[in-house]
Amino acid sequence: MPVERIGASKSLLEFVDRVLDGGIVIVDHREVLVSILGLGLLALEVQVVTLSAQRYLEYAEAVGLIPLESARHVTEYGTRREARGRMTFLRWFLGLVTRKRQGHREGW
Amino acid sequence: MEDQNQGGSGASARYIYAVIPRVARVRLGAIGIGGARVYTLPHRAIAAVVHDRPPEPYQGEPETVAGWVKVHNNVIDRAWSEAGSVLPMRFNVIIKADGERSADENVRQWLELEYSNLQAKLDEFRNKVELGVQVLWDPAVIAQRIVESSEEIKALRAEMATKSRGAAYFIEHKIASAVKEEMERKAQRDFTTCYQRLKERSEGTCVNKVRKQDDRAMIANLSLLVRRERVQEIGAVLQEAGDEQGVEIRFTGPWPPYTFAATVGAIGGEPESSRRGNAS
Repeated sequence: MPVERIGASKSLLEFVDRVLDGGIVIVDHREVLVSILGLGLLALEVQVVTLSAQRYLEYAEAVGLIPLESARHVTEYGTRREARGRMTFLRWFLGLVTRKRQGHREGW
Repeated sequence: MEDQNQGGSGASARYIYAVIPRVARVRLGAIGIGGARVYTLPHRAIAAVVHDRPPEPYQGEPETVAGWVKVHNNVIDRAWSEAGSVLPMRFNVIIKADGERSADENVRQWLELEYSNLQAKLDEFRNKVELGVQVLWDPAVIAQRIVESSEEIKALRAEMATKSRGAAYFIEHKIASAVKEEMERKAQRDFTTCYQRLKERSEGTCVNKVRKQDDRAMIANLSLLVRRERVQEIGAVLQEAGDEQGVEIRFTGPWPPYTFAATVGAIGGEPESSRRGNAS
């Protein structure tokens, strides 16, 4: 099979890998730094989980434990990103559930 | 969405794309994220490539973020070609003003704190590029080749033909596990061979975690730091590896040295010696 030579301008996944995971990061000790992480990556992951999130919402009342393993597929970027993806999902999911519950109380 | 990308009067922070050797040209034009005007903030012999921004990170829909990521890289490419060497920043690194200093002063303070480290890396990366190399297998093709070439598996298949259905079932399992083991050995062997050949031709290597693929097994995911003049040579090595049936090579670049520049630096007084990098 021939070698697939891809120019730097053509591979989105490689862009994401390098620009969101590589490069210099500054650790901030005086809170002068707004952002040190690729928040964009979190946005990408959140959208991926949206497809399965609806299914979770259907069971929201019954869910005592968030099935973290079910969120494993939120990202294909490996363990570190999987962990980050799970946390993103968890935060997002808990936010939705909380809002939904508050909504019920407020008579939506 | 465009509004949040612009500088203007509320722009009390600086989005940083890269650090480069100081160049005469200060303004690079409206090439930044959302058409922001990009310029250099020089400090001694180096400079940060920045645009003005309110003190908020970029956030948006995935498609929008993907576009920003590309623009971020394009600006770094442009700065790289202007200056000859570049230390790319990760997406969304923004330095703002605080009670004591303006954003520009904070950027310069960071450049000063990291000065010798940044300058050494800029020297190190001059005339070098990063390449991405991924080696992928078509598992069905590789398994088939193993079945056809392994003496052990050939013998098991011959034995299976002479056995009853029940006994053949167990031999079938033995064949499956023999194929799996041989595939693992081959993956290890191929990775080692490929890695050694690439390492000999590179100034730095980084073994990245393999990513899941739908129908391919990734056996290697490497970043290489390579002298510009050796890129073709690396291509030839990969071409040879990719000639094998069932093997696919993805070869991307040249990239600014994202993987090899990933150094953690501090604002606020941590000594340079405590920093770490991931280049090898």
